[in-house]
Amino acid sequence: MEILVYIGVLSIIVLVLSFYIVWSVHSTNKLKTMREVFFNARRPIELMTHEIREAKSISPTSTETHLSLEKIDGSYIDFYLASSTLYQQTESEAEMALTSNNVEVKDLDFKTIATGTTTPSVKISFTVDYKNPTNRPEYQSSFEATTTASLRSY
Amino acid sequence: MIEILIVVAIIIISFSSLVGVISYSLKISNLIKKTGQANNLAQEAMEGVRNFRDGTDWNTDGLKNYVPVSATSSDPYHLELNNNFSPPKWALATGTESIDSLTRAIIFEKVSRDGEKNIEEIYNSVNDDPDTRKMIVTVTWEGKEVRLITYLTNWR
Repeated sequence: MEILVYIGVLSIIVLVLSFYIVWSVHSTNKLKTMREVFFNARRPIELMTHEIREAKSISPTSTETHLSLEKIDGSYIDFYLASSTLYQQTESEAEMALTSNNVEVKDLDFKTIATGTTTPSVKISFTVDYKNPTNRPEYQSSFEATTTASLRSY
Repeated sequence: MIEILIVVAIIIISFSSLVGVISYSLKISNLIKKTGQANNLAQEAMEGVRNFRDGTDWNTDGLKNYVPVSATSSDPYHLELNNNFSPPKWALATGTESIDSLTRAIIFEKVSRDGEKNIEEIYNSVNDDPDTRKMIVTVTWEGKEVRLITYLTNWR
């Protein structure tokens, strides 16, 4: 009789332990995914707003998906999307990816808004999704980044 | 039998604690994500109003007029895009605005300065500085709030 009780209890413990291990692995993956998506949105936003504030002007070659800024020293810095990755490129350097291979950037939009005649602001919006070809719920995470920065070159 | 019950109880308590820790981490990650989004929106309001200040005349259609003469603080405002121009211009409209599940509001307050031209913590109408406005941007969601404060001046 006692052996049956022991086996029963042991089975329950093993079952609960298995569920717990699976759940904790999924939860840890979900945490990593959320963190990666968030940091891949935050870093480009910080970089782009900093460069916009420091810029002398917005180049007329800029489009809704490609921002080109003229810096104080007369050189140019560009931000654009290629193969779902956000890139930064300065004149003298090779292009640099601002987002990791694990995420994809969508719906990048730069909108120039100019209440005054000389100092426009740029509204930036894009979405960062975690790459999830198998559509598993623990790898589903998205961040919609929207902000604006104004030039300070008075 | 009693030993088994004790072991089971210990295991249940240990699992519950670990489940609690992971659940808490998930909750914190969600909060960080939402706070990041709210910060971006608050920053956007700051920059938009700064651009609005630069493109308007302080005394005629600028920020000076957004706090009623008889009041020290304005009603909430929000930014709108005036698409009748190319590129569009910023405009300020009354009321708050909802973006996803976040609510954004901009409030302007009058500012006073002491004899050394320092901003006084509590507004004193005798020392009113008509060329400075305090701007408070709040983004709220589910009882939480991101608040940014800055001072904008009639610098031209």
